[in-house]
Amino acid sequence: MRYLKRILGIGLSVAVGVAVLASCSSGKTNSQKAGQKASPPTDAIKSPAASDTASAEATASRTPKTSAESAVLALLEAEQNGDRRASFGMVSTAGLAAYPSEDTWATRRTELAPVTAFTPESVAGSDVTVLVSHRATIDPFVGLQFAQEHQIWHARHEANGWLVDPEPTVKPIVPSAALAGQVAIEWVTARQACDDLKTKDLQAVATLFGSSAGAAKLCRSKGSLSVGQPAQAQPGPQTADLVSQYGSRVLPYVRRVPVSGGPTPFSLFLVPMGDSWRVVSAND
Amino acid sequence: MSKKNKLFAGFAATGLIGASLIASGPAFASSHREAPLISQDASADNTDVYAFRDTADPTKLNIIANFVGLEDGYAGPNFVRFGDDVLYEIHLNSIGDGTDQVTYQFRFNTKVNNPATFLYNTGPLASPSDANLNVRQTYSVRRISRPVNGARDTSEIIAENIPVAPANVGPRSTPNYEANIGKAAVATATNGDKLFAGPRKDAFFVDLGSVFDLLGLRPLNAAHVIPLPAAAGVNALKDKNVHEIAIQVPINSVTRNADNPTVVDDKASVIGVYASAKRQKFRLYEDGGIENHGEWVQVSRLGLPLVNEVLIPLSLKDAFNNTLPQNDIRNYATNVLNPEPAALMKALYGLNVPANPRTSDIAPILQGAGSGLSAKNYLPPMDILRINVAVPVNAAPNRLGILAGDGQGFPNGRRLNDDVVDILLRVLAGGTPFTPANNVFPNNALTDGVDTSEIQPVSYFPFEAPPVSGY
Repeated sequence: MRYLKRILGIGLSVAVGVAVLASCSSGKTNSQKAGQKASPPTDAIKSPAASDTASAEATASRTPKTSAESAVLALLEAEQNGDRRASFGMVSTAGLAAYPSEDTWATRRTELAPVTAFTPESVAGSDVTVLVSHRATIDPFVGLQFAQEHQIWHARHEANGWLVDPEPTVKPIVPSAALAGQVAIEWVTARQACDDLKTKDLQAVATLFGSSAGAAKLCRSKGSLSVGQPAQAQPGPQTADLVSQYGSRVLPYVRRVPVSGGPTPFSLFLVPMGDSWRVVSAND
Repeated sequence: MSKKNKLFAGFAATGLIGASLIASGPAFASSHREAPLISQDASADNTDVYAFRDTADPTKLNIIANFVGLEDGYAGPNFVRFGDDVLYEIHLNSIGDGTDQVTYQFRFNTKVNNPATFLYNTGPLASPSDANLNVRQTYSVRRISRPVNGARDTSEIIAENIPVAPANVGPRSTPNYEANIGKAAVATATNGDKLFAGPRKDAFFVDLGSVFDLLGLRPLNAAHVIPLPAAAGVNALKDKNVHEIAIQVPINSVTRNADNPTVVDDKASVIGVYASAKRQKFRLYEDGGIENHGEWVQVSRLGLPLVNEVLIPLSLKDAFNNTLPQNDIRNYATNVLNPEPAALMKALYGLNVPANPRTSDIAPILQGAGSGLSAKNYLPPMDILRINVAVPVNAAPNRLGILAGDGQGFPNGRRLNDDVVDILLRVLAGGTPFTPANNVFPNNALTDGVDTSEIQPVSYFPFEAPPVSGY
């Protein structure tokens, strides 16, 4: 609900912003007063440029297929082959509003995890569900990339065939949260044993995010360490650096695991990585 | 002789023009704070782009993209950084249409070792990753390739967690800065490309204070409609730093044929370069922090110097930063071919400038005439810095580039000492061979009186001089 409120808030802000911009752009240009004798030309000033729009060439390059499923599979096969021209050819006319050229489409696709494999699962009318595989990783350019996810693509019957809307609904396959607790135990144990190799192996990144004196003091510390139940991480200072680096889409999948029994209590933050979890951040 | 001509004649007689041609320089800030929105967003503000063949190894291409203009060295305790929430990009186009065949992306990450202190560093720094550095920034680089030969698109992270060069704080904190930090911050990517990110002395030079005072050119002060005593130009960037992203790549890794072109009048020899910065669509201020959401949106871009700065009117400047070069013809051709500065030169200095639209000089320059292409090989005009990599490296470069017969200089790419302000003043006034009737004095001798930077670039990668110390 909190996120819903945020999105509504964003939407309202955008609406207000657009209204303000519209009122500004419809106003007449002030008369030019550039000093005693300088009189800058006004004939070159015109309305702000329209956003990039689809060319007739882009519209004509559609390559509809005979069914919704074959259209979706053709798009994914092209993506798996790195053939952006072919995948762009499967985008519906409605989708061209968001991606008016092959270039804008290619740019968008570089923001998403590369497709390594896919398997069709079901077709319900115009919606096609596909199990799509990626290389499980996390990086600052794409963000969190799940090993597998269900993608529901919406196809449209047009141009005597089927084309596909560009953004599917995505349902990632996430490992059990209980596994996050196990990985956290392994990590603190390795850290207490000063086993850098093992701790790195249990991390999603070479250098952890956050700031934790508790985690730093674990090496050679005494005491019996224990971890609490994994819980979904909340937005705020402890996760701001993660969101900054990997985007807000990472947050719903981050699990916080409290650690006690060491010199100072702290929390580990873990992200799904394939069929398990890996530590990405530590905070006091 | 008209009053105006007398003024110019007197000016020339005093030798000021001659002096300025030898020892002075520019007139606009290339793209420092050039549009209303980006002027309020320094870390995403792309100020200049340079592209030039490497003198030591001509098979390599150096590309520099500067961000954060007008930066002071003494900006502690929160010294200037790249934006962790900005996606920085360098775009390379090998087929002349403004789309990307190769894109380099840069993301930054800042980590504070000890948040309990206000100090940037807790002792002297002997390296970019010294343990005494409390606020440390690293970066990762992704290379995206879209080959034109039918090969698949690829995306590869070629560098991770590379230390950004820290600020040049002062002699106690950063002794022997260049040896310990500047040179040590040069990294090699997994594919062999050379990389650098960090503060450097801004190589650009310009008399900002005068130019934006109704296009004042101090050496020509007496000829202005609001006359002032003639004076030498003043480089406003004399002690200003900038945040530099630099890459050095093999030329054959960015040409359309994966080759080292040797024929100048061949479209395949021309590489288009521009840089950009993107932010996510939405920003939320909450819980003492900031969260960004949504897709990346371009908020800054720059290829050629001064295009958005002085050719695009206020009403379009923000939109310009938001749009793509391949749509420049549709969006901005009117503004570029009817340049406002030329009209101002006529009004303020009484210059006889070419008639609009400027299809006989500005258009061909934007189409690659300055990059050695003949008319039959012209490329579509757009705000992209074009470099013809078949042009041999010039051992004795001239600051006026093509205008002085130096075919390797601006607008064929851009070197750090190319005096783009003087060049563009003359181009806008019609003082080039494209418009013989206007290629006369003073149009072809315009200058802002700043011909070079007081602190010279270095001869080695990353080429811009070490940053001015805050001390």
